[in-house]
Amino acid sequence: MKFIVSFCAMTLLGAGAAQAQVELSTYGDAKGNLDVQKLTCAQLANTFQEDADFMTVWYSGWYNGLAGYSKLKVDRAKELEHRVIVYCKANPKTKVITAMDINIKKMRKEQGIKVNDEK
Amino acid sequence: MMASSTGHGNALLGALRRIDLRVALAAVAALVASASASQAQVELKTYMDDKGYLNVRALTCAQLAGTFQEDADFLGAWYSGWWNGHLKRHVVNIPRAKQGIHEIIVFCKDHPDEKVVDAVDEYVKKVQAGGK
Repeated sequence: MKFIVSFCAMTLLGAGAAQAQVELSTYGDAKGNLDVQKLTCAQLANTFQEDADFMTVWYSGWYNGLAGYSKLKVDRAKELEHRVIVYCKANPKTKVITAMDINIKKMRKEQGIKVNDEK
Repeated sequence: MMASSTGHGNALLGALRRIDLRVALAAVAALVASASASQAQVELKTYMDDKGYLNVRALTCAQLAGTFQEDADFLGAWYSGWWNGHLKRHVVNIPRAKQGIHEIIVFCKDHPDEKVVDAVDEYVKKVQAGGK
């Protein structure tokens, strides 16, 4: 009996988790274009892990492209990806670009990184 | 009868030895090919400067294609964002971006001397010309 109850609970939990995950294109326009300046942490956290990972790396590149940087530090980019995901889970109402900005500045400060190194 | 049976036995043994040799040769060839393929793949850090930076404008297709799949995927997503940021574009179409990354990696395998940024540029122009 106990086994059946816990099995049912696990099934319900699994179904709940699956329902919570949606494709990122849900937040896009009719053509599937997603405005990256509007995406929130909650939306990023509620999507599939694969898409969340893709988007976090994409944001890292986007941020560097916007700023005109042409140099990439892979380990730092991966660390940033991790920090943004953790930050987003704790701050669902924040926009992802804000989470990126906060964490990039924090990492630069912690590691004494000079902006000109990245140009 | 005995002589005939032994003759068949010898022929069978000979045939088995030839098959064994062929199997062994094929196994060695597969091992050599596999070893070459592993040697061809290098970590991204190989291309970094002494400060640990990767110059994304200088990276070649050969370098992108020569790294591990996981790193190539990572770089593909990063380049996609970087390119859009560079053009001050604020939208992404995820399925289309993933398709583009795949096509650029395929293109890079055939054009190892091209720079990745040029490959991206060519791909974007091709898509725009096709009205996608």
